[in-house]
Amino acid sequence: MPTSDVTTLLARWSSGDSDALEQLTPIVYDELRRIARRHLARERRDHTLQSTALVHEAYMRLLGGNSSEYHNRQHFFAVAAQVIRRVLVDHARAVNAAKRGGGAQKIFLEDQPEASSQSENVAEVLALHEALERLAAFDPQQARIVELRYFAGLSIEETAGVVGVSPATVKRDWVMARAWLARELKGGASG
Amino acid sequence: MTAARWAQVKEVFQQALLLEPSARAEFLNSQCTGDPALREEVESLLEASAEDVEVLDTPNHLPSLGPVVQQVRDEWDRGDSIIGSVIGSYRVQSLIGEGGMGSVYLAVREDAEFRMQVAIKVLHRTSGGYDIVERFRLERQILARLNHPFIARIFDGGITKEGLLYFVMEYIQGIPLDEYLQRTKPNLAARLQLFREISSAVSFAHQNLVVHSDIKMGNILIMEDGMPKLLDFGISRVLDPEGKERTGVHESRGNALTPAYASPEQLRGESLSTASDIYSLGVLLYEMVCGRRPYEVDPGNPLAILSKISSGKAPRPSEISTLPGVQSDLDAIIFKAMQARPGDRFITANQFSQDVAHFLNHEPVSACPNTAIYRTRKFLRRNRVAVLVGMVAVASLMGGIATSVHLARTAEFERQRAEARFEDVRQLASSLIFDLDADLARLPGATGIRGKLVERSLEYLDRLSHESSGNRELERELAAAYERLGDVQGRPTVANIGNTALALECYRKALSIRQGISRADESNLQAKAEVAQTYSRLSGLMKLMGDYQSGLQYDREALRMYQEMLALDPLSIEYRRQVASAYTALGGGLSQVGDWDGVLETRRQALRMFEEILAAGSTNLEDRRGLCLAHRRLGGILLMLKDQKSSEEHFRKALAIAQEMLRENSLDARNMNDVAASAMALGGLLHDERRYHEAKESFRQAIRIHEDLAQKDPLDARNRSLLASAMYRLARTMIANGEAPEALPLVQRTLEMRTELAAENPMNAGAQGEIGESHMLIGDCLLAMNQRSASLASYRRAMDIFRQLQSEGKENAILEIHRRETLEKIRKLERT
Repeated sequence: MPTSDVTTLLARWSSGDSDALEQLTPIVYDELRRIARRHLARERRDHTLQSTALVHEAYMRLLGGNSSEYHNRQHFFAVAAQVIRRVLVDHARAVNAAKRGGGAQKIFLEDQPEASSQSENVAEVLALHEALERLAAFDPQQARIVELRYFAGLSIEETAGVVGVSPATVKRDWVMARAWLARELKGGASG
Repeated sequence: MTAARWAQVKEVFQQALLLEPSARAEFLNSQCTGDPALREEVESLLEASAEDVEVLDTPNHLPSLGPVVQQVRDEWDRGDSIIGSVIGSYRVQSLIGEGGMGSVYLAVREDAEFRMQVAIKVLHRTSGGYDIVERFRLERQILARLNHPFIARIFDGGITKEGLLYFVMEYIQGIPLDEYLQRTKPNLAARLQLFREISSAVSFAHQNLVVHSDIKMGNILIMEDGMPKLLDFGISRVLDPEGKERTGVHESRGNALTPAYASPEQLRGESLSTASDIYSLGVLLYEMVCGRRPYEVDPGNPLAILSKISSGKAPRPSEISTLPGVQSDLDAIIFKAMQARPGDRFITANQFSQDVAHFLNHEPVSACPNTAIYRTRKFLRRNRVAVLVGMVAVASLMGGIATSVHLARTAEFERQRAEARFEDVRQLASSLIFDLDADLARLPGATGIRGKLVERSLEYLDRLSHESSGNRELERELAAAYERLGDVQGRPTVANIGNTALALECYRKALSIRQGISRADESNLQAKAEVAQTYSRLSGLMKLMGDYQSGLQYDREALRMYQEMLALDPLSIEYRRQVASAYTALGGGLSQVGDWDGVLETRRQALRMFEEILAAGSTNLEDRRGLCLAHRRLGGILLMLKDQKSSEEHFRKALAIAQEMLRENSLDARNMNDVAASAMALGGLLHDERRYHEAKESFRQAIRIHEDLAQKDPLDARNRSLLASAMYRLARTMIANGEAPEALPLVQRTLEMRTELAAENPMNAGAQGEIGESHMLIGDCLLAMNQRSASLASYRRAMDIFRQLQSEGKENAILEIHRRETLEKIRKLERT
C-alpha cells in the first residue's frame, strides 16, 4: 500500500468520511501484524515489544518517510488505538471461549507453563474493555483518552494532540478515568 | 451514572485532586453539603487514584497488556510462513540459510516454458517505498552484463507482499570459502590459484563498472568442482546507488558491514571505487593464507581498526602462517593491496592477480618488499597527520547517519586541539552507535530516539564548528557532516525520516560553512562544487515542501556556481558536463511549474553544452549519449509548444546519433534503447501529423529493437513492457490509417503481454492501467470494423479497470483522459 494512499485515507477520514476508516483499519491491522512478525523473527522473545512500539513503528512504515504532517500522525494514532484494542479484545474473547469450550485451543493453552496466569490476565483485559464501554456511555472523552493511553501507549502530549484538548486536561481525565476503572475492576461501588 | 451526574463528580474530584490530601476533607465538606452520595463517590475515586500520571498501567490499577500482546504475536507467528508462498513468479520451497542481512530460500520458477531453480534472498528490511524497484530496473542492464562463470547472477528484485525487499539469484550449491579451506586444507599454491579465480571475477565486474563493496569469505561459495562463485555482486548498487550509506552499521543491508574487510575509505563513508574492493581482496588473501584476519576487531569499538590500518601493524603472513612456502614477497603483495591510501594499492584486480602469479612462478613481484617498507615508513612519517574518523550510523529502522572528521595536526598545539576534537567526535560516534542501539533494542518504535539522535548529532557538530574556524579541512568535513545529517533527516530521494525542517536547518548550516570557504578563496573549484551541491540539496527539499519557486532559485544558484567553475577553467569538459546537468535539473524544475519558455531555454543550453563538449573532441560515449538525450528533450518541449517542424528535426538528430552509436557497438543494450526511444518519440510526432506511413516505420523500428532485446533477455520485464507499448502505438496508428483488421491481432497481443506483466508484479499499478488502455484500443479497433457490440464490451472492460484505479487513488492525468474518453464512447454506443 503506497504511503500516499494511507495519507489520502487519513485525510478523508479526518474530513468525516467514515468509509475511509473502514478501508484504513485492515491496512493498519496488516501492518501491525507484519511488524509483530518481523520482530518475532529477529528478536528474542521478551515482552519489550509493547503496543506502543507497534503503533509507532506502524506509523513510521505507513507514513514515516513521506509525511511529517502533524495531523496525519494524530489521525493515525486514533485509528491504531482502535485497531489494537479490537485485536487484543478479540484475542482475549477467543482465549476465554477456548477455556470454556475446550478443543485444540485448550490443549495449546494447557501446554503453556504460565497458562493459568495468562488466562487470568486475559479475563482482566476483557473486564477492562467492558468497563471502558460503560465509561464511554457517560464520558466519551475520558474513554477515548484511556484507549489512546492504555491501548496505543501514547504519551500525555500525543494523546492531547489526538483528542484536541490541553495536556493538563488529559492528565486530569486520565487520573480520574483510571481511578474509576480500577474501582470497577475491583468490583467496587457501581457507577 | 448519568453524564450530568458524572460532570458534577468530575468537577469536585478534579478540584480536590489539586489540593493537599490534608485539605481535601474540608473542601469536600464545603462542596457536598446535602449530597452525601456525591461526597462518597469522590472520596472513593480519590482513594483509587494513582497520582503519577505518567504511569500507563500498574498491577494495582489497570491490568498489564504485555501478556496479551505477546499471545497475539505468538498466534500471528504460528500462522505465518513464507515457505510455499509465491514471490514474484517463483514458488518458495525451503529455507537455505539465514544471516544478519536476510534469509535465503530455494524457489522454483514455474511457468509454461521452463522450470528453473533459484535462490531468493529476502532482506530483513522493508522498502520504505518503491524506488528500489525502479532502481533495480535502471541497474538491470548492468547486472545482465555480469555474466561470468564465477559470479552468481542476479535475475530479479522487488518487494514481497509483506513489504520486504528480495533478490532473485542464481541457485548455487556450495560451501562458504572459509569452511571449504578448513575442510579441505589445500596447500599454498592451490589457495593462491583459487584466489586468482576470485580476482578474475572481481576484475570482470570492475570492467563492467560494478563494485562489490562487501567482499568477504562468507560471500564466496565453493562449488562441488572446486570453482568459486561470488555472491551479491551488484546488490550494493541497487540498494545504495551513491555508495553513501555504506558505513558503520549498514542501514541499507540491514546489518553491519564487516569492519575487518572494509577499506578505510569505506569506514569513513566516502564514495567507493574499485580500490575498496582491492583492499578487501587483500584482506581476503591474508585470511586465506594465514587462517586469521590481519586486524582484530574490537566489538566494543569497531572504529579502532582505522588507527590499526593506518599504522600498518598487521603481523606479517610469512611470520604467522603455518603453510609452507609463505615468503616475504607474498607479504609485500598482500600489504600492497591493503594500503590505507587507495592510490598506494594495486591499480586493478588484474594487476594484483598478476603479482600473485609472479609469486607462484617464483618471479620478481612488482610490490617488492623494500618498496613496501619504504612506502609504509614514508606513509607513516607523512601521517603524523593522523587520520581520525568518526563514523556514526543508526539502525535499520530509520536510516543512517555518518560523519567523518579528519584532523590535521601540524604542531604540538594543533595536535592537542585536534585530540580534544577527536574526543568529541569519538563521543558522538559511541553515543549514537551504542546508546541508541541499546535504546533501539528496548523500543523498536524509535520515535523518541529520532529526537535524541538529531539532538545529539547537532549538539556535537555545533560544538565542533565553534572550534573549527580557521581550520579549512575540519570545516569542510563539518559541512559534509551537516549535509549528511540533513540527508538522513529529509532528503527526498533517499531513505529518510521525514523531518524536513531539520533537514533544512542542516543544509543551511552546511551551505553557510561552504560559502565561507568558497568566498575566502574564489579560485577554489572544489569549494564551488561543494556549494553547488548544497544548493541542489536545498532545491530538492524546497520542491518537496511545495515551494517550487525557492527550489528553482536554488537550481539557478547551483547553475551559477558551475558556470563560475567553467569560467575559471573554460576548457574543462567535466565542468561543461556539470553545467549541462545543472541546466537539465533546472529544466525539470521549470516544467513542474509549467514555465515552458524557461524549459525550452534550458533544454537549448544543455544541448549547446553537449555540442561544445563533443566539438572539443570528447569521444566519451556518455557525452554522445548526453547529446542524444538533449536532442530528445528539446524535441519534446518543442512538440509541446507546437513547433512540430523543429521538434521533428531534433528527434531525427537524436535518432541519427543513437543509430550511429548502435552501428559502432551493436551489442550495447543502451545504444539499442536509445534508438528505440528516439524512434518512439519521432513516431508519436508523425502520428499526430497524420503521416501514418512514416509513423508506422518508426514504431516498427522500435519494435524490432525491443524484440531483439527480449530474445536476449526474456526475463527483462521493463523491456517487454516497452515492447508492448511500441506495439500498442503501431496498432493505434494502423487503426487511424484504416487498417483496423490488420491491427486487431497486434493490439490483442499487447493485451496478453501486459496481462502477463501485471501478473508477474501485482504491485505495479501502471501495468493495470496499460491493460485498460489495451482494452480501450481493442474497442476502437472493433468499432472501426463496425463490430459495435463487441466494441462496447471492450470499452466496458477498459472502464472497469480505469474506475478501479480511480477508486484506489492510482489515477494519473493520462488515465483520467482515457477514463473520460472511454465513458464518452460507451455513452455514444449505448445511445445508438
